Amino acid sequence: MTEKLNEKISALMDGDLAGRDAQDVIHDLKQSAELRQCWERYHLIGDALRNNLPSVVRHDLASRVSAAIESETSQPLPSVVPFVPRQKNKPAPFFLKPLAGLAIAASVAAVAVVSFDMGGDVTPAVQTMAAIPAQMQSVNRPSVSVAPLVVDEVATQSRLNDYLVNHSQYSTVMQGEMLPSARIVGYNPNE
Amino acid sequence: MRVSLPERGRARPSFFFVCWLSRTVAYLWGAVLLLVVTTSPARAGDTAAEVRQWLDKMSHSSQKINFEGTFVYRRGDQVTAMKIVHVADENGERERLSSLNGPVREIVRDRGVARITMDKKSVVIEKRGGARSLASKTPEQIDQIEKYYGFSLGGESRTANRLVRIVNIVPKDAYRYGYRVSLDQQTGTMLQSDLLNEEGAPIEQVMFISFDLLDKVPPAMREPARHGEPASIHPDGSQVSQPLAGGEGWRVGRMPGGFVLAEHYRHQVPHSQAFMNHMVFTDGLASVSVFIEKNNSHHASPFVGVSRMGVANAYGTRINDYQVTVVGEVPVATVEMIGKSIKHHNPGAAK
Repeated sequence: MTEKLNEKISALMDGDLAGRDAQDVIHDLKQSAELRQCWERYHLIGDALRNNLPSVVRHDLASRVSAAIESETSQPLPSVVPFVPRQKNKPAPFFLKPLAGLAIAASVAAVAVVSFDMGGDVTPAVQTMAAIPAQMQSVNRPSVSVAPLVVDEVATQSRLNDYLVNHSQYSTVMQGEMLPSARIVGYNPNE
Repeated sequence: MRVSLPERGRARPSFFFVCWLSRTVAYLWGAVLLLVVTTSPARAGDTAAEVRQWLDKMSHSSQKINFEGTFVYRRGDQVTAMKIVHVADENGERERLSSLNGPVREIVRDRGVARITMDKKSVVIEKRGGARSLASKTPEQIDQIEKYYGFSLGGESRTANRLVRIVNIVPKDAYRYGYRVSLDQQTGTMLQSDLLNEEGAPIEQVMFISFDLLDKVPPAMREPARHGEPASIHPDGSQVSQPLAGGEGWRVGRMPGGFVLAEHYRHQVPHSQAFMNHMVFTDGLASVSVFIEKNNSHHASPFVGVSRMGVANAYGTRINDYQVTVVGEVPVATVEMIGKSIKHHNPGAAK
């Protein structure tokens, strides 16, 4: 009986088992820790045959995974914290800059952003502009010292759009007119 | 007899063969040495000539070929897929470029007339004056461009499953952006283009996904762009823009090296009888537009400062009763320098 099951597990691994048979084997795997170990061993054999063994082999992976699943389902899910991507050009608060410089792990960065994401009502235009002077502070860079422009009116935005369209018609092109056209078609005034 | 001949035949050529081989090897070595000696000092010049050849091939390719293709346009975290059909025949160049995702947008260009359809509105713009592509540049003008940009050949690569050659265009100061373009080996068409900021990081990228040469002009591209199309903002593109001879009292005091006034126009302000001045400055590759219009009740409130519009930067300022705005695909320092130096010497002239 066990040998037959082992054969079925092997077949399932190779993708040769389908339908009712596959469901039965999966059901048995769920029930029996011994069968799960068998499943793991077969994978290990397969990996060894393909010369694809990891440097450290964990023999209890299947049980650890199922234990993790057990513990997750038995506990209430943590409340979902909405992650709002910040305007990427907004300079980080001074207390975040050292962390950013260390290129910390993405998960930590996300926590930091969520934790400190309580900025005021700054319009996107101001956020975008505020970063420019900082980017231009290199030694050989021309200095930029102008006040940011707040584009808060539809009419003003519309006028700037007209300028952009007119500019694109008269701008220098390296080849054909493709690039100016792509800039207009790909332009999103709300970005 | 018949047996001995082949034996002699084999023996004698082998001697001559050895002599011939040694002579050939000596000649070859001589030729290689000569090649090394003659090409080493001139290698830089040869590369520059080769770059010129590629630029020439690129700038003339659009005048010669019909193609259709799809490409992605990326700026920041925004990606738009676009389709392009380009034809060139005895009637000139025509091109249809449309977005494949997001809002339906399309630009149809037909011999200087562009019909732009965005967000269900259509605008027709007629461009006077010649094309400002590299194709129209004289060798002297190219020399001028090379004062402000370094051109170099990169390696070979593959884009849209076609062999391409990379050309790097690096600015020599911080007042302009650089380019890295990949040119189709067969036709010279630009199949990939990265606009690089002051740090050398790409701020805009175009990359073809598919590119197919067409034997003949597709039926949809045979009609002129203006035929039967609405033009809700400008009644007729040909009436709204007039080239101006003088600066109408407006002068730009400071300009990064190499930028010169290329054109000066008067456009009709949309939905209005008023006109705006439009000056175009270029260093041969980058261009900057200066727009000057009188503020009145119709207009939005004046704006002062810098803004970013896509890959372009803009600087706005007020001079007397006029709104002055500088727009260009150049670093913010460039639009700011130009904008701050604009003066109006004859307040009564530009109305």
